Amino acid sequence: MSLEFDADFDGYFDVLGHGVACTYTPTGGSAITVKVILEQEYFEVSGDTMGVNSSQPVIYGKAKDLRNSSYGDQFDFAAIVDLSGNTIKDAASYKITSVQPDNTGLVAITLTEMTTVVVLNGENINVTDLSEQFVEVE
Amino acid sequence: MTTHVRQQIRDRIASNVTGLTTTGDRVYKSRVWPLNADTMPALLVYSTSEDSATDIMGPSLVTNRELSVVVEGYVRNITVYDDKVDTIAKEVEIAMAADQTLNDLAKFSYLSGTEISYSGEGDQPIAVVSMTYLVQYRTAVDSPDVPL
Repeated sequence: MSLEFDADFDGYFDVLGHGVACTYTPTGGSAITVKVILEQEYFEVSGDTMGVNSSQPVIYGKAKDLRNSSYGDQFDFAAIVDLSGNTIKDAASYKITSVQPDNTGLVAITLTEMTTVVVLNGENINVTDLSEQFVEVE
Repeated sequence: MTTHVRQQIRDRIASNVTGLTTTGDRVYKSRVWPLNADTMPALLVYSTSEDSATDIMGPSLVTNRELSVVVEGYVRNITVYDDKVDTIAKEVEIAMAADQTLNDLAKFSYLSGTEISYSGEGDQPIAVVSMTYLVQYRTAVDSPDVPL
């Protein structure tokens, strides 16, 4: 049984709260604006002997907006600035690496950050060899 | 007194793999702190273990040693991280093969194994190639700082 109206979900992602508007572009589709919560907390990736400083970018959004999202779709975020106008993080683009619906109206999406313009090919979200899924755009 | 031959060997290997095309001067000996995005691609050099045995024949006691030195290559790259680690391995192997006695610190050195691993846990894929070199060298028992 549902417990929330659509307006309740809108409140969760209000840009006056924790939400942020971003551009979502499905592979081969048109860009739309959606409101999501972006988390990118510090994460140390385990290496062999040494770790690597990194983060784990994850967005949370309405399943209504993102139910058809899939591996390789792109999100573009504006720069993160403080109230004084100082840039905390530059504008960034991300590609989807995994879509994780909670089946109650929300979806968590894990991302990989792009530093060059690339297209992720492939349909399988749970890929084990990502190397074959990337094709660099000239 | 100079430094232990093991240290001299580690220093020599780090020097030999410094300035390679992919990793440049981002070579770190015995690093214990995590790498940053701006410090990769990088090479890490560790001396990890050593087997030794003493010759009890002859006029003086000599320790025969076999040192394991690990050269690890780290790559953070969206698209070609698997190719990058193989490129790093190629460059390291060529550099190491050009100085198998490590400036006469050792009798011989050779690549004994390579392991490659990948991680997609962070904001970009991480690839690591770990190359283990066995370095055979000898010292007098009472002079571990002088190679024989």
